[in-house]
Amino acid sequence: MAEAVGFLARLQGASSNRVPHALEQIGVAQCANSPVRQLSQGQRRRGSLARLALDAEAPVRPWILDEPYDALDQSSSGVLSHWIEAHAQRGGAVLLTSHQTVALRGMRTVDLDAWCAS
Amino acid sequence: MVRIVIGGDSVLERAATSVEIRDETESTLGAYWAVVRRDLLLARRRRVEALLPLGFFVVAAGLFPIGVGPEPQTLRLIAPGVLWVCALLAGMLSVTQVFAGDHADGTLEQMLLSRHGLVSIVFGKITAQWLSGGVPLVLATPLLGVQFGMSAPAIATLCLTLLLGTPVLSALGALGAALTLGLRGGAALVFLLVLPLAVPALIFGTGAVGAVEAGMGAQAHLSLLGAFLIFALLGAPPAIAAALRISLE
Repeated sequence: MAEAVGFLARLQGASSNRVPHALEQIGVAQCANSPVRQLSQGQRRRGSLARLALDAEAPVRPWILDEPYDALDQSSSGVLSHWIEAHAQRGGAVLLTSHQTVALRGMRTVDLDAWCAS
Repeated sequence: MVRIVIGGDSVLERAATSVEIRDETESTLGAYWAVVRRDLLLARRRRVEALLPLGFFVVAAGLFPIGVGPEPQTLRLIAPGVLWVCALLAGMLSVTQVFAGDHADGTLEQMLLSRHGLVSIVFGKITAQWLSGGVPLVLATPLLGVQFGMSAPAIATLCLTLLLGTPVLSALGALGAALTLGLRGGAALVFLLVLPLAVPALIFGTGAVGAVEAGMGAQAHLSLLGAFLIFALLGAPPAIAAALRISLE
């Protein structure tokens, strides 16, 4: 998995040096060397979210995340919130959808139910 | 304090621009190498799949002497054509799926979203495809040439033409694969699309060997094959990039 995450990081022009650290932060360091097909859905999800931690270079890009908190445990959710807040601090915008209540600093909530097609 | 200003701000501006351009080139090269390394790594992990074209090449070329008959004169005559056609078909065999895996697991979308040009990434895919699919064919050719009783200069020329010709097949095949991405029965369509385009390479490739065997120089054929290679390598990547964008819209 570390190879796959590193490749996607290099594809975006980021360095792959921090891949092990990012995987460790989100709690999947133990499967860094496993083939992706052997990983569970949650592990894959955390692996793909680890790419967010590698996107730390200028110019800051907006993140668009579709239900990033889905199927994440408490500690991984905390790490993700931390990354999102750090990104916002750098001046990056984050647009995300969620079914759960999320508490983030400087967050603006839009209730999509109002625009729901009846 | 000594301060030296030469040419005012414009020099600094130009310097900044050149640094930016160098950064851009470096990162583009970085994406190219990342793709080449990854695809070669994948080929190494799936060794059976990667060596299937080579197996096809050896078996198909090996069947001809059995089918045609063992007369050395006949075999020597048909060898360049047989080996070239077998290499052509073997090359097509591996290239039809060059984008399928990336398309299925979403990597292709990430490639399209990359900050670097898609063209350099496509070029990386072609390079890796050629290194894992084309080069083994070229390396196996001398052995098959000996089997057909070809002379040493003819074998050397055949290898040279295949060395020039297999990248053409990789580039054209990748174009066919990009155009038929996501279609049912795409592999068969790639054959129909690409084989006619590869005919010039076949003609010049076998023509060069024929010229050497007839005692003439192969210079003209090799030059034309080289020109075809340059044309394919310059023309195919942008066309592939455009085809990939269309197929993922």
